[in-house]
Amino acid sequence: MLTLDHASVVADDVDLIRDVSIAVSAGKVVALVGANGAGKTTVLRALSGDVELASGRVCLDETHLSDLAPVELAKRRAVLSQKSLLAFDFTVLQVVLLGRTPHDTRHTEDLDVACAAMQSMEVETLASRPYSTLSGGEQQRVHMARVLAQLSVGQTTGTRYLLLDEPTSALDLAHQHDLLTTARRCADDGVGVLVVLHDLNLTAQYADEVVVMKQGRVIARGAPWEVLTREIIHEAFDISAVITRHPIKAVPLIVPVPDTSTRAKLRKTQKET
Amino acid sequence: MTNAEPSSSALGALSIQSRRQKFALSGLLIALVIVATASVAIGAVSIPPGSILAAVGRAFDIRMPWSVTDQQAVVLTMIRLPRVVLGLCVGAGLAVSGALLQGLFRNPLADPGLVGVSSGAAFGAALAIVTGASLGAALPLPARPFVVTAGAFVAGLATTLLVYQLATRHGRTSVSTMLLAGIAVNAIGGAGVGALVLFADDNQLRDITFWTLGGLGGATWTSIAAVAPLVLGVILAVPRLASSLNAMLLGEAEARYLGVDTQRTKKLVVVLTAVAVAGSIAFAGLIGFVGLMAPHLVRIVLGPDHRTLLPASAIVGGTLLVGADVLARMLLAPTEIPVGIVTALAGAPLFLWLLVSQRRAW
Repeated sequence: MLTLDHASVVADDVDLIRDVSIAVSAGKVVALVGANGAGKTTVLRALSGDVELASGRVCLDETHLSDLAPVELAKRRAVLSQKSLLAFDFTVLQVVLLGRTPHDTRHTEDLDVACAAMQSMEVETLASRPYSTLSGGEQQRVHMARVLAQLSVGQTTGTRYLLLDEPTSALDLAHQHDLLTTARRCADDGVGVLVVLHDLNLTAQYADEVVVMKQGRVIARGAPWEVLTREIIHEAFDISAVITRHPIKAVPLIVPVPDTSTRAKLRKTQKET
Repeated sequence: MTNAEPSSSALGALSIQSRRQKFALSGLLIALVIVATASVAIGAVSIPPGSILAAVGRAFDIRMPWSVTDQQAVVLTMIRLPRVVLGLCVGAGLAVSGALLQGLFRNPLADPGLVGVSSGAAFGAALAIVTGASLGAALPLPARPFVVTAGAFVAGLATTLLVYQLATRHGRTSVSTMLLAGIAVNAIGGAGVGALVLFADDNQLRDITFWTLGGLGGATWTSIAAVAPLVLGVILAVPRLASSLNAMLLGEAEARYLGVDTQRTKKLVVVLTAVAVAGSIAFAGLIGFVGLMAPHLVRIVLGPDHRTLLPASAIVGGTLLVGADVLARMLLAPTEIPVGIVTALAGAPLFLWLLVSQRRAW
């Protein structure tokens, strides 16, 4: 289990997250939702061990993250960041092979893993293309393939974890579902998945557990039906929504109903006071 | 994840790539041999390739169908060969350092001089030149010729470590702070050299000027014995950094997610470049553009993978500097142009042409 325990992160005297506890367990997809600036990315970075906690702790199977060797951690935990840059122009295959950096497997094995990862993200036909010539969505899929290659089973023992920060932000409709299906399949293989999402309907369809954040705190958590309610959505996003049932799947379907007149009125009164 | 068969397009791309790499690497080595041979052959005393082989044969007691005069043999072993070997070492050291720093800064404009090593070394050399007479008198005779070299090496190393310290806080080094601190320290070093020029007499002034223009004229087997282990040590050490530097091209956070100890990588890159560059310019003076150009040329042909970039840059850097040295000796013969002028004059326009013709991202 990858756990964040009563964690706070402070930057320049501003609390980015306050007293957040979150647990990602094997075989589960946890979705993290909330308005811009709610602290979702900070939680993800804290879980990946990349930020210093002001208080609290982050543990992988009861071991402090800081006590794990970076390479051992990298074999068991992969992170897809919101934005990945690339300074010099690698080919797509080279980028995906970077995912094998922590593994000391043979090159042919790395190649097999990279090819399988590229196939699952449908980027294998781009293998020899320079990364800079890809579209934003293609780049995002290439990075997802890199992360999958990093997490490929091989000699790794213990539960593996996949942390995805808005992995669908640049993807078209079909690829959004493809990517989350892949994440879901990873979870079915025993990987613990945490995914930051903005689309509540994707969240409802793919998450086992939904964690809602607002202003650095967790305000609700539970199964999609329990959490994705009118009241919680209104509190977290300041928007009205109608919740109905997905016509095919047994999950909630969220239809946002922006009440422009009330919001505009609210803003006006805020300005005046 | 399914364990699918590797797709043929990916494998095809890879095999083309590796074939191209082997082809290009052997091409680079052939170019190196040709340029080195030309550098040995060309000069006031001409030594044709046959005579070079004859001289080598004589050293190993093998009879060759060519002949070599005693004069040629002496020029070869005492002047030409040390010069070529020093050129290869210095060029390789500068180029590998350039490639390392460009990778670390994730910026194709990074140059070995950026972290303060050149200006520090220049200040150290100028200080040694100006105070040399009084300082040298205190030293035993055999050590005296190395006062300037030692001054440059120590000051270059110290400046780089200072820049590194300035950019490190709470055990983490900020690469962008290092860049800016390097610029500031370079300015201070430049001002220091300027101030020393005020106190220099005419001879010292000439020495300072020639040192800052760079040259391989001072090559001896003794200087090679000092610089070759430094540069070779660095070249042998860098392949271990290649995959870390590759991962760091994604950004530092991504590299850490991939299990790379980024702080250790930064430290090693700074120390290795400081040693290689300070060692190189201590014996050859300031030589610009080789460290910037060689990695660029390699990236165009072989791509940015550090596993090939680092060794190939060493080969190309050595070739470029030895080639420039041939030009430096030929163009105004018998006058010798400082090689730093040649690398700048030939390198800068070539570099501009590359910038304009390869508008794509580096």
